[in-house]
Amino acid sequence: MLLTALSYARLARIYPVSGSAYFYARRNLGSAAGFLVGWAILLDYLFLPMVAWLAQSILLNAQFPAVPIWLWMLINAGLTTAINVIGIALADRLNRLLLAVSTFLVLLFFAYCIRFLAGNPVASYSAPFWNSNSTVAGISAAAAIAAYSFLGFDAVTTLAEETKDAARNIPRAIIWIVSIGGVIFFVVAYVMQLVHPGDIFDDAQAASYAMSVQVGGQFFADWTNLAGIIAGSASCLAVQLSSSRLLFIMGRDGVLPRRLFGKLNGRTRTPVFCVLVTGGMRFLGMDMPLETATGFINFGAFTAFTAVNLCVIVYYLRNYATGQLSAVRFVVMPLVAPS
Amino acid sequence: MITQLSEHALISGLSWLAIGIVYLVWLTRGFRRPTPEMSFTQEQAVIVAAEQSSEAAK
Repeated sequence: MLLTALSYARLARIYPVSGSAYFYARRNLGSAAGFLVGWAILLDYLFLPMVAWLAQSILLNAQFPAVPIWLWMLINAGLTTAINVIGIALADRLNRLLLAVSTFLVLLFFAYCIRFLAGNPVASYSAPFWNSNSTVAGISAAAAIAAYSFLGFDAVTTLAEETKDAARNIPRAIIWIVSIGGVIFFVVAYVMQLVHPGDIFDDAQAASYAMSVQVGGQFFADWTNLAGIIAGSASCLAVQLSSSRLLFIMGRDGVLPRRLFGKLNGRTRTPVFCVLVTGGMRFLGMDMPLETATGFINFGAFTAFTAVNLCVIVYYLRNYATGQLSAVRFVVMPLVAPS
Repeated sequence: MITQLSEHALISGLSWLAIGIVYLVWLTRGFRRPTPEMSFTQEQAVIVAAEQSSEAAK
C-alpha cells in the first residue's frame, strides 16, 4: 500500500494539478483505458455507501437485536438520502460534528484497553504478529480486506489546486496520511489483539462491541456503541454525498444519460436523481455479508491502483531519453506495489 | 493483491468491466466518436476543456 501511495506521490509531483487515478490513466494510457479505469472506480463509488450503511446496520443490530439488519439498512439509508437531498450545507455541518465525536471515541476506547491491560497479565506480546494459527494465505487475505481502511488517501490529490506549493506538499501529504493512518490502525489493532488474542468471537462482525463490554463493562459498551453508531453516520453521509456528486458530474459530461443524471433540482440545488440512485443501492446489500460487499470495493480500488502504477512505468518509458528518472523508483517499485 | 480478492468479487468486477467495454463501444459508436471525458472533480473539467481548446487551435 505504501508503495502504491509512493506511485501516487510521484505522479502528483509530475502533474501538480488536481487529479485521481482516472486522470492519470487518461493522460498516460489513452482515453479508452482511462474510461475503463473510471468505470471501475464508479463501481467503488456505487458500493461504498452500501458498505457504510451495512456496517452501521450490523452494529445497530448488535445493540438492538429486536430490529433486523435489513430494517436498519432502510432507516439508515433513508435518513442520509433525505439529508443529502435537502442540501450540502446541512450535510457538511453534520459531517464535521460527527467526525469529532468518532475521533474522541477511538481515543476513549484505546484508553480503556490500556487500563484493562494494566490490570490483566498479557499472555504474549509477539502472538499478535505470528502464532501457531498464522498462515501466509490467511494473512494475505486479511491484507486485502484491511486495504479497505486505506482507501481515500488519493482524495487529497483533488485538493492540489488549493494547496500552496502543490508539487512539494501534495506528495508529502499523501505519504503522511498513509503513514499516520497506518500507525493508528496498527497500534489500535495491536492493543486489541493483546486484550483479546485470536479471532474467535461470538459474532465476528460485531467484535468491537464485545470488546467494549470486556474492557469497560456493559454500561460503557452500550453508550459508546450508540455514540459510535451515530458518529458512523458521518461516513455514510459523506460517501453518499461524494458518490452522488460523481454520478452528477458523469451525467453532466455525457458519460451517463444527461437528462437523468446531469440535472440539479431547481429548489434544493442537489442532484436528486443521483442521490436516489446511490440510495437505491441499499436494496442490493440487505442480506450481503460485509466481506462480500468490501470485496467489490477492493476490486475497483485495485484496478485503479494498478493503473496508477502502470502510468508511472509508461511515463518512465516515454521520458527514458532524458535520462533523469530513476529506474528503481519509476519501474521496480510500481511493479512490486500491487503484489 | 488483486489475486487475493474473493472469487465472487473478481467475477462481478470483471463482469462490470465487460459491461464498461460494451458501453464504451456504444458511447463512441465503435470508436468513431471521441471518448467522453469523465471529470471526477470540477478542476479536472476545467483542465480537460483547456486542453481540448488548445488542441483545436493547433
